[in-house]
Amino acid sequence: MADFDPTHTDPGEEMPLPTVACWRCGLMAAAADEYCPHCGAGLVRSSAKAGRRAKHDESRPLKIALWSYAALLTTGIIHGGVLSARFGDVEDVTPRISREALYQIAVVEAIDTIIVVAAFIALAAGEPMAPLTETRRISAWFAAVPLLAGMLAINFMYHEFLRQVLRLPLIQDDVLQQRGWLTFVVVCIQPAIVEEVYCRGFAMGLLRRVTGSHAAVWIAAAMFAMMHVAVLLSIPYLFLVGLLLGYLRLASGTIWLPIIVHFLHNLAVLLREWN
Amino acid sequence: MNDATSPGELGSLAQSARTKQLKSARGILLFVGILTLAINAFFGSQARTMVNAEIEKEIKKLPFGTEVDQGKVDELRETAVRSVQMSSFIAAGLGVVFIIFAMMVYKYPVPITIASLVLYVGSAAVFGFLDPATLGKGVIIKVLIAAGLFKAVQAAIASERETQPMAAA
Repeated sequence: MADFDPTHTDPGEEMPLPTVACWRCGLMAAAADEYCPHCGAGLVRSSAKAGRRAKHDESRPLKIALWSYAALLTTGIIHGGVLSARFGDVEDVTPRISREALYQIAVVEAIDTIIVVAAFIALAAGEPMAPLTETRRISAWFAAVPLLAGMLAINFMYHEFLRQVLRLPLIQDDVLQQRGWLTFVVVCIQPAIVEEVYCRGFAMGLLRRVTGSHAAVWIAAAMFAMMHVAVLLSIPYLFLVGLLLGYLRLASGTIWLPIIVHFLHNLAVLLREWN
Repeated sequence: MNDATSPGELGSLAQSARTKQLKSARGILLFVGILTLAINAFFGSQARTMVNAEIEKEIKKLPFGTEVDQGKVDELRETAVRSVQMSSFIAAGLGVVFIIFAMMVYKYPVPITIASLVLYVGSAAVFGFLDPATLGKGVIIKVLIAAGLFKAVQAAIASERETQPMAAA
């Protein structure tokens, strides 16, 4: 119940704003809020017009998220077809071929960036997260360091297992051997920014409107892993990376922490390949 | 939400329609899950046979008299068999996930239906990347399944909102 007496008429006193309980987390939110400030759920309004708008709001963002996800997957498939057509019969991967493959990856990533930007414009959304305590926010930054180290260890062990024990070829090794600013941008900069903005910013924020925070993290992690169609055998590991980055986003309340962690992760992998 | 809730108890035609959509989503997930698990378990078990057949086909295409490095062929054969088995194992695991989702869809309708749709579309893309010829095969069924899952997502969201109404302060 709101804490006020409607019969009290002190002109100097502000009337408290009416509040409602969020349908998902049960915490109180201002009646005028469109989204719950605690869990991000869309708040249903009582009027029919608002109900129609809420229904419209629910399906349109989800459709944009799913269509943009499908578009990103499609670019991956097309890239796979082009790679296969161009390099399918190649036996020895020469530096020229590696360079050409790298240029192809750069073009695909440019297209992916355009798709993500288009999705943002279509929704005009940056999804805010629920307010967090200062302690939790700072702890997330400190916890990221050992968590990143642990994830890199898992990465190296898993891919070493694929290479040495199962003796499976990993084509990206040859592409990563190309030293230069283009490799750095393609491997470290673009994925860290675009993939994080899309998966942990855009998609996770939209999903939190209709599912719980944990479900949003897990689903966004699945999207992140599946988007890497070109590296099928790395998908299980990438799902774990997606979970880590999602929980860091949740704990820190900012997109910058997962961007930095993703950048450092990819940089570590690249430096290991170069050395 | 639990399995004991029937359309009659909910007392709403719209809710009844949504429950039916969740039931059809459960059917879709079971169908896709069992099919994915069965097909990939078969491919995994037949990996060596399939790889041998493909290698023989490629060798027959070579000009008459070409010397084949048997050592390299054997190494390639083993690598190919391991790749197929690993991919089949991962894909079969995905089938198991769909079956588990089918069993949990009434308990957590919104996250399960969204996750199912994401995984289904993603797996179609991955298989399409591995073999582009599979993209065209059964495209109508794939589209119908994706559409069915999306309808289930909408039904789950609407159903959850109706069963948990807001309390005004």
